[in-house]
Amino acid sequence: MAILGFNLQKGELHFCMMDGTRADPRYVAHDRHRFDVDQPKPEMANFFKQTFNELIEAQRPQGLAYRLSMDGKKADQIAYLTFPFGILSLVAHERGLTADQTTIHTFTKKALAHPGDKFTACDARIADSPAAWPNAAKLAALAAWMSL
Amino acid sequence: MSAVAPLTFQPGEIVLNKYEIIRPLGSGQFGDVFHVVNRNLSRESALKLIRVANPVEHRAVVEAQAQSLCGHDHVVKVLTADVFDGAVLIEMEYLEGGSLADRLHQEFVPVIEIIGYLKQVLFALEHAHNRGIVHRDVKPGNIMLTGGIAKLSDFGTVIHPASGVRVTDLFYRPHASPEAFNNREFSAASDVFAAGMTLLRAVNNMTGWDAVLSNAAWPALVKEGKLANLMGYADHMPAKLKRIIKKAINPVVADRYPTATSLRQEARAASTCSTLDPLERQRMGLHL
Repeated sequence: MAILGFNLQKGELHFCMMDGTRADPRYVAHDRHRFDVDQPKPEMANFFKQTFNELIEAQRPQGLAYRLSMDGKKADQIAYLTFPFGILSLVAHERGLTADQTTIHTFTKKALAHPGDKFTACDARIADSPAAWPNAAKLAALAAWMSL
Repeated sequence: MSAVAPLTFQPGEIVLNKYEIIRPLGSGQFGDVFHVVNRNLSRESALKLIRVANPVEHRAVVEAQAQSLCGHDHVVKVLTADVFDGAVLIEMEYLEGGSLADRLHQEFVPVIEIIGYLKQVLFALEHAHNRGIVHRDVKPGNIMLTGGIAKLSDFGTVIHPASGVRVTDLFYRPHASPEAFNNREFSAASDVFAAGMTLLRAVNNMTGWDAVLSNAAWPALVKEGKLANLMGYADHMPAKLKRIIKKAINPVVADRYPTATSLRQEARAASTCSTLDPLERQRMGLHL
């Protein structure tokens, strides 16, 4: 089962395609799309709608997942960290896909079956993972992994 | 009933007992477009009349394309297709803003708005390319506007390179990449080339495009991918945008943006305030 996971940070949408099972996850691909945090919200919403659709068309996942950040302190931060996942949920609905939400608290040692931290778990437990990949991409992978 | 469709429709005329002609919108190599009212559905539409050798086959392809491409936010919706007196009538959604070409004829369009339109159209191109379809007619006249929204129109010249399926061998030659013009090699990269030419024309606010095409040298320049040399780059164009356009219209395929997405991402970066100096922001039409 293939799941497309997403993670947001300021100005960057990270995604990671994962396959396999929860016990035996496998990396497929990852990348990022940059976006302007200063653009008008309607334009940003359209950017995310188009980008999510484009990625889903390209990757053809059976489901979607995202890591919801709890880091936003200001209104603008909350907007670009959370609004896009409302768009993702609507896109999922239109396409008949699930969109599972996770937070940083989801990625426990027990959930990952790994004694170390979540980022080392990605390297140790995910088959075919890259030799070096950013933590932001790993968070997208973790979101997808939890939905396998 | 005549064996051949009339050359044009007149305002007030009723066609197929369904469409009331309001006014002509434009005329091109492949047909005429009219603003109409669909009386059955009480909606305003754009109606394109295309005279082709095999209208039944053409209609089938149009309907297949509509099925594949429509529903995308930045593709002009095809509503219906009919065969009429040896021609095809295609009903499309009507966008009251006209085309980008129309707007360029009427006023100076700020660079930031042009980039905004192009980014939306590049989403549409990526959508088509993901379905194996190459547009082959990307130009300001086929970018339709409504408010701040741009939609790509007129898939009449599309080709499916993998199978060779197309309804015409014609394509928009002035925007053709060298490999398309010389070898009929159409790909996502050849559409990117045309998008780059479109961006250059629009940022230059080229109302004098006819003057370029009246220069006898233009086909030879297109053959080498050097028509931009005849067009030049407007003084108000930021340096970063100029570099992006040059890469989009690079005659060498390997040195060009390979996908609509890659061009769109670079165009986004070019329009971000933080990457521009105050003069460039002013040139782009951004507030200081």
